[in-house]
Amino acid sequence: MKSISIKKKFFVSAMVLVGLGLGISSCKKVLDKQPETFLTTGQVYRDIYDADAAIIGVYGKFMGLAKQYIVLNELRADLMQVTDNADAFMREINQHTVTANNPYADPTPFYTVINSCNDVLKNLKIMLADNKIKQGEFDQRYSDIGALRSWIYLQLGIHWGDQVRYVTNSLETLASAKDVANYPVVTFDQLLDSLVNFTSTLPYTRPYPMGASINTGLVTNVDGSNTRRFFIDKFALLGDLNLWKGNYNKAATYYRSIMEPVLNGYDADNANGLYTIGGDQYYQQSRQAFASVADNRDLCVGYIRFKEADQGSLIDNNTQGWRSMFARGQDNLWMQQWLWVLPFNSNFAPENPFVNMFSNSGGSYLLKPSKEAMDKWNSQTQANGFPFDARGNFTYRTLNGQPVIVKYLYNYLDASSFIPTNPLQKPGQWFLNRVSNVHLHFAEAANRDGKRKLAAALLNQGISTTYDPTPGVTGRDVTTIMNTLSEPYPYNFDARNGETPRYRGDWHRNAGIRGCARVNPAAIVGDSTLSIESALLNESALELAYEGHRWADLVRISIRRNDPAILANAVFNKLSKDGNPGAAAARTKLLDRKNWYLPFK
Amino acid sequence: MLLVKNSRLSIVIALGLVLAFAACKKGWKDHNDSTDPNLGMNLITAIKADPEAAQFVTLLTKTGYDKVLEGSKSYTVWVPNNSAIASLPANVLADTNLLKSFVGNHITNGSITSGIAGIQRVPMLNGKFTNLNNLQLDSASIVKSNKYCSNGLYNLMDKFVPVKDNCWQWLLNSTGFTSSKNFFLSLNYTYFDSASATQTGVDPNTGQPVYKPGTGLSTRNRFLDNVMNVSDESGEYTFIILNDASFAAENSKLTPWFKTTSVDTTNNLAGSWLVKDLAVKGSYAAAQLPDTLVSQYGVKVPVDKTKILSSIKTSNGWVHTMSQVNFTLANKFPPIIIEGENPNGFAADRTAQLLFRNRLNPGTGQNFKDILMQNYSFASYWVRYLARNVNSMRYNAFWVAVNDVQTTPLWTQRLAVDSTNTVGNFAYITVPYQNYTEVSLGQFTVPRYKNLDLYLIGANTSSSSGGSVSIALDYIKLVPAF
Repeated sequence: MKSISIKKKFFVSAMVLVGLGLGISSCKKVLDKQPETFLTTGQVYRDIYDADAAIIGVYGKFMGLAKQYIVLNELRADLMQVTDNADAFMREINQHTVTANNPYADPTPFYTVINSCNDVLKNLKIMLADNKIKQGEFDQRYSDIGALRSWIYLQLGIHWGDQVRYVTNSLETLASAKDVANYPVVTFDQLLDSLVNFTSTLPYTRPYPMGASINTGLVTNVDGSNTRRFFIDKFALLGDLNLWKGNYNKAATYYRSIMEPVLNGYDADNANGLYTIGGDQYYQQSRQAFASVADNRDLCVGYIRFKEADQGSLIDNNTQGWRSMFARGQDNLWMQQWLWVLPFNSNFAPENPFVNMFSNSGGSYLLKPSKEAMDKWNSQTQANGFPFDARGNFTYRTLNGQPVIVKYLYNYLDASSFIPTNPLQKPGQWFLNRVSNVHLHFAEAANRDGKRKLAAALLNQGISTTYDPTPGVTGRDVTTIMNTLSEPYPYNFDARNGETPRYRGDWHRNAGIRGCARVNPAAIVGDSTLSIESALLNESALELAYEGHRWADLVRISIRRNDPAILANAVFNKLSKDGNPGAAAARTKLLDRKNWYLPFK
Repeated sequence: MLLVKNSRLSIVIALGLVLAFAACKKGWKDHNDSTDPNLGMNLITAIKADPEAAQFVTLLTKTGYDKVLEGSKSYTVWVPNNSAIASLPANVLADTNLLKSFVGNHITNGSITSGIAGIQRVPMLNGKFTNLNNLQLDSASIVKSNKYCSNGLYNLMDKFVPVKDNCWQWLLNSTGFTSSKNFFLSLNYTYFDSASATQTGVDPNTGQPVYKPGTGLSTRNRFLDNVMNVSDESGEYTFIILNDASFAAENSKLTPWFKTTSVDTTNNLAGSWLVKDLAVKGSYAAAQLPDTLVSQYGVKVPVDKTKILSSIKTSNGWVHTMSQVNFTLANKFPPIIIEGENPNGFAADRTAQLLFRNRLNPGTGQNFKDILMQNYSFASYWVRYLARNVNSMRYNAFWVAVNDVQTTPLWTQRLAVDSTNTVGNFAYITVPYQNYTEVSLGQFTVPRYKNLDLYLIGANTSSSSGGSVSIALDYIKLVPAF
């Protein structure tokens, strides 16, 4: 201070005076205005509309996780590969050499959404206590957000392992956020226990009901999308949590709830009678139905009828067949397959991150399919003898000489030229869960619960064919075949399909995952439990590639079998086939389970 | 708040003042300022100021390039020094066009740094390309490199870079290779380009433009268009030119396989077949030539270095004149393969029964494509294939026809050449179950060089079910028997 001249001292004093002046004047009431663009706590959670807005708000925030979710669950696993355009952080994720500042390894975005969930949960309770919402309204909304929080925690557990902080209180103030006591560290097992306990006590597990008119409550049309499949599927989450935990029967029971859609509220829009017995929706919703070979109005891999062995007759468009499930609007067929999808609208934030990640036309083309993934598809044989799995053709395509993951780009690219319809508009969808995944998980649980044949049926050619000693013969009495009705729930399926006497079992259209994809059944060799489980793991790659399930599948099965080599070898195969020099190092590293997890900071 | 931070604030202010004073010192200007006086002048001024470049400057002035180097675009100049220019042939000095091309051969658009390892092909202002490698431009060494000026940079070299002919120009200007030269010239044709023609009006009846006669015409060459453009300056080629004796010898080896109704046509075809393998991409000096070059058509070109008459460096590669290139006939005439999935015609429209399939050969693990037709209700149904430019010689015929659809009934099919006639053609053969290997069908002779029709013919009965009447084909292979 001494070295500063008098002038400087005066300057400092003046600053202080001005500061004090501001301090005093701010005490005056005339300036005490509420901010215009933000709501304070007292202004929200006043009625049911505020509650609904809060829920939509949480999902809006949740959509910000899309990019990180796909990078973590696919790029860490074996089906996705970086391109030359990818940044150093993506490369680290790819070869399992994550450094501390890697933004993809940062759990903060997940916790931001968890904090919002906690806030909504707390306030829903207050609203119920204050009679601002009814018990029924509370149950639905509380269960929805509670389940969403559990789902995010399961993600944290899958990627950060035993380091997750399980926070269930709303942290509204800075002080509470800084209090370490609010962050109990839990192991993955403890986390699973907590999540199972919390989630299975949620009062309402069905989808949001639809009123007499579709435009009531949370199920409505927003920005051109219907919100019926906007919200987390709680049965699927409960099934997954129990599957991770090893409660196979319980897991199968929860999954079966989805597979009996009409009993469990997936059928509310029955205006045209499609969900009544005999209607297409009744037999096809959630049942992985067989192809409609005459007109290809289905979600299966198909060819033009009677020209099934002709390569040019593959159904490859946005309105028919397997590919169309990623492209079509929310029609009846779409509803049969999809359970949880969040749409990105080009007019609103958040922006669709997938165009930038995957497209080489209007995007940055950061990620591409790995050679290992392509080999998986190319090692399958279709029913017509073609030596590749057509699902591969629909999942990635060679565009301008580069393999491009197109699953997420069908709403962005032209259906036949694969040039962006409008490069400035990037519509898309975040595919979170669908029926095929539920069937594969149900089969995984059933297989471990001793129902191996049923698991193989759902994987391969469907229940009707599998439980038929002489498939294809007509004019029989099918009373005793094509069903598993002797099994207890959730393993009792009626897939009978006969004329004298006439049977149309609820499951008669079930074709199995591979049957629907027109690929030959996976061979079951050696120990059938392990063989079927491996086949299910592989099928998940073929069917659900890049939908964010791969890393979790590898981790879950590696843990269950106590065999880290399953995961380590998968990653090794990817890296070595793509010529990555770090392949062997990654394998060695991943043989130790604690190295599967990202650093928590 | 402010009071607490008072002392810290003072330090910040003090530091700011120190920086302000320091910035006033002249030292920063000295530090940042350029010391290279060249940067203040343009290329021509700088080159004129360089005494070593005086001779080249007179040539620049004479050709008008001095005005170019004053311009605002940037250029790179490789200046031959005075002693180099002294050895410039008199005919170049005397001819304005040659001189302009010579000077332009040392200037390029844009700033190109010399002294970087690796060959860079630099386009010069005269349209030629010259290889720059480290401090070597063609055969000249750069003695003073990268003198930067306001509009580019120049280098000083110990030699000049002569303007060379390209491979094609060398052939046209050559003497003593009459057969080769005449043959290549015989491939010239006149091309009409509407863009360079003068339009005089529009035909009132057709609405088509009318051009002034004689305009828009240019000469092109089929060898340059279709085989290898050895007149292209930007690429590098190795071009083999046969002397008269060897051209005649090789041509006569080929003429029997190009029998036509006219001697001229036969000679033309044989000559074309001969020369198509005489140009390859890449610049091979005599010392670098391998024993065998492989042409773009996969034909092995035997190179006996003792038969090289001369080797000439051209502006776009090398020309080697040779007294012998002894082609092996089996290499010159590889087997012809006609894929089953590329048919040319059908006996009748059977689109509904026509299957183009993807298949896996379990023996080799390779995928292949084929064609399969079944139950098409047509007796002796045929699928036609076109084999283009088939030579007048004997062929051994093979096919791969895969039946992987039924063990019974097995069907029969046959191959017919030139016509669907039964007489004089191959007999019906049973297609066994799951045979992925080549089946020998026998031999046939093609009397004249031509496009050959091949027919795959099904059984002489009509059936719409059961698969007893089917045809399948992966490929037909015709192996020359000489």
